[in-house]
Amino acid sequence: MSKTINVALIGNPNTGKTSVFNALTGLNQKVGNYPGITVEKKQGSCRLNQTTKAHIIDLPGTYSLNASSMDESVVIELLLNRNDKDYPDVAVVISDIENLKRNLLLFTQIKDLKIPTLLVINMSDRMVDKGISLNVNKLEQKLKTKIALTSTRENKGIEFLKTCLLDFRSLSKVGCLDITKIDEAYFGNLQKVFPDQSLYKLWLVISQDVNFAKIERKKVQDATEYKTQPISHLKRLQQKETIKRYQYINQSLKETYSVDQSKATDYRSKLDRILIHRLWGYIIFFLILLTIFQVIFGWSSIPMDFIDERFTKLSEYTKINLPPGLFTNLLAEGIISGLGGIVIFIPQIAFLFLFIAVLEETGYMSRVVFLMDRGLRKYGLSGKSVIPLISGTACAIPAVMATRNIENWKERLITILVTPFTTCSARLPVYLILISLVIPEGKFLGMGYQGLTLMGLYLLGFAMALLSAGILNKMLKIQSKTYFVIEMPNYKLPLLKNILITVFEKTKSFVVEAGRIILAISILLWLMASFGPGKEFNQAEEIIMSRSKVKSFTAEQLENEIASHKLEHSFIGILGKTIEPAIAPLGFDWKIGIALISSFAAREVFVGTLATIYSVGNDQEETIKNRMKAERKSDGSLLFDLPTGISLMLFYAFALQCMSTLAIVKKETNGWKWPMIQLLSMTLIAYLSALIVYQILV
Amino acid sequence: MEIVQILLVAASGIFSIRFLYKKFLAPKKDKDCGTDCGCH
Repeated sequence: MSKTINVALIGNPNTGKTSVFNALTGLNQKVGNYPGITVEKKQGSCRLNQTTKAHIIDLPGTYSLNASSMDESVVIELLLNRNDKDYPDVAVVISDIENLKRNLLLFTQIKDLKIPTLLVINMSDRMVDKGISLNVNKLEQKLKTKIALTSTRENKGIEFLKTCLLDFRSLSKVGCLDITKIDEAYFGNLQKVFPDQSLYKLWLVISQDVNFAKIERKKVQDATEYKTQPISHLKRLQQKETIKRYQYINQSLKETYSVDQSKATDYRSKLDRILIHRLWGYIIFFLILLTIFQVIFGWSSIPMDFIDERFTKLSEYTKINLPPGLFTNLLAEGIISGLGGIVIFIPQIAFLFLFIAVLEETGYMSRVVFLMDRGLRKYGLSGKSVIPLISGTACAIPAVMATRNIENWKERLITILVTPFTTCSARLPVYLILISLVIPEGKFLGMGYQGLTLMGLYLLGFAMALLSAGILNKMLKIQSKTYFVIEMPNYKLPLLKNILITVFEKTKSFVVEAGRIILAISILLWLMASFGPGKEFNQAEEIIMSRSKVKSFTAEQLENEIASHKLEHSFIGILGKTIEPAIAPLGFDWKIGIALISSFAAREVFVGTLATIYSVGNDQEETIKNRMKAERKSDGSLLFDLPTGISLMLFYAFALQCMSTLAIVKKETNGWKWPMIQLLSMTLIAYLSALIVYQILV
Repeated sequence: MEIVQILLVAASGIFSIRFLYKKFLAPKKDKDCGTDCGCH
C-alpha cells in the first residue's frame, strides 16, 4: 500500500525554494490560500519510490522564526501545530550556497523544534564562479543533518534529495542550541511549569508578536506559576538567542566553507553600481518600463484582435446555425460575449506576468524596489507597491494580486485600495471615444490636445493614487512594523520553466476566479436588458409601427428603433431612468445611466452599451461616434458637449466601475469591509469631482 | 422548442444568481483548511 509523507519546504526568500518545489513536483501542484488569511499556499506531490509519495508544501519565504509578516506567521503556525494535517514529517530547509551563513539561522531554529530536518544547499552551480569551496561531509557532522547539494538550474541533486526524503527517519533530531544557555533562571523556571513541553517551542510562542490561532499562547501567558517578563526583556533574550546561533553557525562553517574572492568572476557589483544609481537607476527603470508597456500593448493587440474577431464570428455563427429563440440570443449576446470579455484579457495578463516574472527571476525587481522605497514611503506605500501601481495600467486585477509580496499589512492594504485609480486598459476605450467627441483636434506646442488629454488622464490616475495613499496613511490606525528589508539576490538568467509556471498559474487564477463572476453578471445584465414589464416593452413593435415617422425608415432603421424602445423600457432601462435624477446634475441622461450600471461589471462594457442604446452595431466606432455626437438633451442642446464629456471622463477616472476588482479585493482582504469602503469612497470621489467640474464648465 | 429555450434561459439566470450568492453572500467553509480554522 502506498504511504504519503508530509514535506515542508522552508527557506529565506530568493534561495530558489520555489525552483526546488517545481523540480520536485513538476505540474502536480495546486495553489490555494491559508484559511483566514490571504497568503498563498502552494502544495504538490512527488513520488519518491513505488510505495512512498511525498506531499510537499512550499511555505512562504522567511528569514527566521521571529515573525514580522503574515507569510512568516504561517510558517511558525504550521511548525508549532502537531495537529495540523500538513504538519511535516520532515522539514527541508533550502539555502543558497552564497548566503549560507545567513540561511543557516533559520535551519538551526527549525532543527531545535525537534522536527527531522534536512538541509538543501542550492545554486551549487555558482560555486566555481564565486570561488566557493565546501566540505559537505564535515558540515553534515557539525550540523547533525544530511545535506543535499543541488542546482535546479542544472537539474542536479534532485534525485539525491528524494533519496534523503525517503530516508528521513534516520535524520538526527538533536537540536543545535541549548536554549537554557541564554538565561538559565528564566528557562529553568519555564520548564518547571511546563515539564512536558518542548522548551524552544514554548519560547517561540511567548516571544512572537503575532497572534497564533489556537496555539497555546494564551495558556502560556496566563500561567501564573512562572514569572512573566516585560517585552523589552524578551527582546533582549531574542537578541541573545540570535547571537548564540550565529556563534554556532560560524563555528560550523569555519572549517567547512570558504570563499576565495580572487577566483570569483563577479558581475554583480559592477551592475549594481549602475542599476541602483540615484540618477541612472531611475532612467534605466523608466526606459525598461516604457519598453515593457510598448511591447505589452504591441504584442497583445494581435492576439486580442484575433480573440475578439473569433468571438464575434462565434456569436454570429451561433445566431445563424442554432434554432432561433431566447436561449440562442442569450448564448450569442450574453454568454459568448461574456466569455469573450474574459478571454480577451488573457494576452495582456499573460504578457504582464511574463515580464514581471522575468524581472523577478533575473534579480532586477529587488533593485527597483530598493530604488523606489524612499519616494513612496512618505505616502504610506513601500517600494514593493511600485509593481502593483505600474501593473494597474494594464489591469487592476493582477495588480491587486501582485501586492501579496508586501509584508507590511498596512502598506499592502493601502496599495490594494489605491491601485484601481491607475488608468487600466479597460478605461481606454471609454476615454478614446469621449476624447474624440468633446476635445478639439488642435495642437499645443506641437502636441495634439487629444493626446495631451489622454496623457493627463493617466497622470491624474497616478496622482490620485498617491494622494489617496497619503490620506489613508494618516487615517488608518493599523499597528504594523515598518522596517524595510530587501534581499538583493544575484543576477541570473531566468529559468524558462519557472516563468512559464508563474504565467500559467496567474493567468489561470484570473480566468477561473474573475472570469466566472464576469460571466454570471453578463448573463444577468443580458436578462435585465432583454425583459421588461408592461405594454411599452411587450408591445414595442406595435407602438413603434404606429408612429408616422417610421414610414420612411429602412428595415434596419426600424429594427434599431424597436430595439432602442425595448431597451428604454426593459428592467435595466427602468433602472437607468430611476437613477437619472441623481446623475442629471453631472450632465448625464438615463441612457448614460444604463451604461454606468451595465459597465459596473466592467468599464469596457460602457461603449458596447451605448452602441446598443444608440441602435448601432458595436464594432462601428465612427457610427457610434456620429450618433453620440448627434444625441441631444431634452432642451435641444448637444448631450456630449465639453462639460458632459469631461464630467464623464472624470467619473470613469475615479469610480471603481469593475466588479472583478471588487471581487479580487474581497479575496485579498478576506472580507467585504475594504472592498465596500473602496467602492463607496471611489464612487463618492468620482461623483463629486464630476459634479464640481460639470457645474463649473456648464 | 421555444419552451426548451425559455427553460434554458431560466436555468442560466438561476445558476448565475446562485453562483453570485454563493460566491459573495453565503457563509462558506474553507475546504482546504486544517483542524485549526474553527470551521470543523
